[in-house]
Amino acid sequence: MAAHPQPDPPVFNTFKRKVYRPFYSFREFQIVLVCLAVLGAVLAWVIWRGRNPDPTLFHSDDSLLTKKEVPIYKRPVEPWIEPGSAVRTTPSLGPFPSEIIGEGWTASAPVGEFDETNLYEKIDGRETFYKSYGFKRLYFLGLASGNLSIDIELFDLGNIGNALGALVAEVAKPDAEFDGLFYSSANAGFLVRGRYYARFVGSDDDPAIRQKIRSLKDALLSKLPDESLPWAYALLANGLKISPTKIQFTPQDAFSFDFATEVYSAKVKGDTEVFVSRRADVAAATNLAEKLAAAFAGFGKAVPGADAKLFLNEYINAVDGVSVHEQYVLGVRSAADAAEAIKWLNQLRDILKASTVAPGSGYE
Amino acid sequence: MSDEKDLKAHARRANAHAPQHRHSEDWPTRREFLVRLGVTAAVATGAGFLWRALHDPTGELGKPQEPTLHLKNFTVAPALGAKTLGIARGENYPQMLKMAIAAIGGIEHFINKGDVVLIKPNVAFDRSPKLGATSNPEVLAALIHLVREAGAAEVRVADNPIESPESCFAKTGIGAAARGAGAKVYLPTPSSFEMLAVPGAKLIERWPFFYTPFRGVDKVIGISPVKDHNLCHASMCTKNWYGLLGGRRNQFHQDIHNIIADLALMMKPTFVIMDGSRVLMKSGPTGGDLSDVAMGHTIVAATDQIAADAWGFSQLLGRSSELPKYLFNAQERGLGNLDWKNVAWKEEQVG
Repeated sequence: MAAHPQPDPPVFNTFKRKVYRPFYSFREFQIVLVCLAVLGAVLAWVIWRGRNPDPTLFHSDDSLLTKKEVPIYKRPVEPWIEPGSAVRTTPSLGPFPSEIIGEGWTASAPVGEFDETNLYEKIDGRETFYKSYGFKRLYFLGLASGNLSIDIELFDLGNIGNALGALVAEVAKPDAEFDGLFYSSANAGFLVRGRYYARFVGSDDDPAIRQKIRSLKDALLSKLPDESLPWAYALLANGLKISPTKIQFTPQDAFSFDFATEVYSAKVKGDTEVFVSRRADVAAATNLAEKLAAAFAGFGKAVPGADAKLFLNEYINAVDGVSVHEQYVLGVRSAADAAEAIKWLNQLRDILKASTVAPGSGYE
Repeated sequence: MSDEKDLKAHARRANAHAPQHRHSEDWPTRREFLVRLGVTAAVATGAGFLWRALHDPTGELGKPQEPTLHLKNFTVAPALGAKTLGIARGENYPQMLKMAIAAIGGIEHFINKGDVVLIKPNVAFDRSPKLGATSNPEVLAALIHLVREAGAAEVRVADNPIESPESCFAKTGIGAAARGAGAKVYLPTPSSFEMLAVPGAKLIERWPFFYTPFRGVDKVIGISPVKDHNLCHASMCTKNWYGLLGGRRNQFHQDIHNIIADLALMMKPTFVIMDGSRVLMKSGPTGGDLSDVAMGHTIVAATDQIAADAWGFSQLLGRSSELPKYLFNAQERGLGNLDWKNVAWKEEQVG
């Protein structure tokens, strides 16, 4: 019978120290259990109160603000007004000239500025309209005079083409009469100056508001830089004698076709509408013309049209057509018949050939 | 090298003396074996449960969960013989309101004595009320009076405007009109919003909601203007609830038809008032030009906001085009009937 082997040396207790207290009394164990139970109860109560807070903590009763024993700090809400000054605000007026406030009116707040990241904070729901016209920045200034007020919204749309496009789209009234690139109504005014599109929105139909809007127009015309009109205005305004304020610029989705971008159009007679678009080269122009022709064909059937592609729209019994001249796409919509469509297309081509869009003609 | 050989030789010698078998008296007893096995199994099972409880590969479980609220259904069972749409034409707003609401059952049918009533106007922009971009304060005041006369203990008016709330409530005249008529005005603050659950919603299944004014509310009435909208073609009764959303709600304009259908799912009001006293015919939803505003001289009360919107689109905005897509979406989800000609309606001229 082999001898018992020596026990293995201890792995952890290498110094062979005795455990201080190998045993604990049952009473001690009970006390520990009680302590743990109390701690657990406290923890459970904290969690429960966190999930079921006292509803009065969230109660914001207005009467709390009127209790006399509650001291309320009131910050000065009115900025300092220099005695004798009509201007209530001293901060920068941005692109607005200082005379924009004028006698009898005060700025209700400093100029507000909005870019494309926060435009929705000002005009949520309509910001996409301005973004489709190349929106860069909005400067907002509110003016007040007694019960009357005027909001000035100055949109920087990048270039005059976009600004005019937005103006015409917003003032799309057949009988709208413009003073240059300015339109006014009973309470409002709309102005294009260079790349800026300004809206003056008065609170009411009031002579004081209309007078102030006219002075606002003059102030902005003197301060804001002008720009040459886009090339299409030379073609349509000079060539066809159409007012620039009747020319509609559609940057995208023209005629609801997602491929039709950068299209200028104008009504020329009744429902007849001509349109032009300039592409990078002849191939691009031909490509767009073919897409338009295919789209027009979807509403009816082809009719003879010499160099142009003409289609009878069978839904409205009118003729749509498109042709190409160099890098330009020329078109007509809703013409009474093929002869009228060809007439307008030829006229557009003749104007282009006459090079009305030449540098120095006042247009880009 | 030699040290390594010595170590190996030493190990071989030591192993030669090692016991080949353990003595039976060193073996654990059956009881000890079962206890050890049980303890091992318990520890392994516990570790498994602990792993499962703590397993959070995305880190989402560790985030504190915001309490989620559910909005109750504020509708009232229809009165016998009541119409779905009550249409009143004229210029006397209090009388028109009475007539329109009488057609759908009468104010006493909807409001009980002691009710806390919340009225939600459209105060989205700080515009003069004459520009038609917001609810007409005169119609709102008349509605508050009517609700109070019916016995409401408290009337609250609340909206979360797009622009500065203080400025919007002041400039639209809605703040003064509501307070003057005896209502309590609630302006939104960051702490006014709580997470609302809208089961079945496509976009707002959980979304911050302007909840503070809804605490303890028994009935909800929407009062909306009728206006053109750049994106969804028309903003009327259903779109009005957009003003109760918080957060980056502007992103919903990317999918505006579904969000409006979701709003119809979110809010089941007691009834809605379509304020057609003025109609913003174009350049909505902001407007700005009085010549874009037509005097509609109409007030509609409805228990079906989708039917009301369909009526307003064709009869007040005068659109002959197809109805907005959000009305079809809402109808498909069983939230209303856009075929207003086939719901019970009554039209009356006041004065």
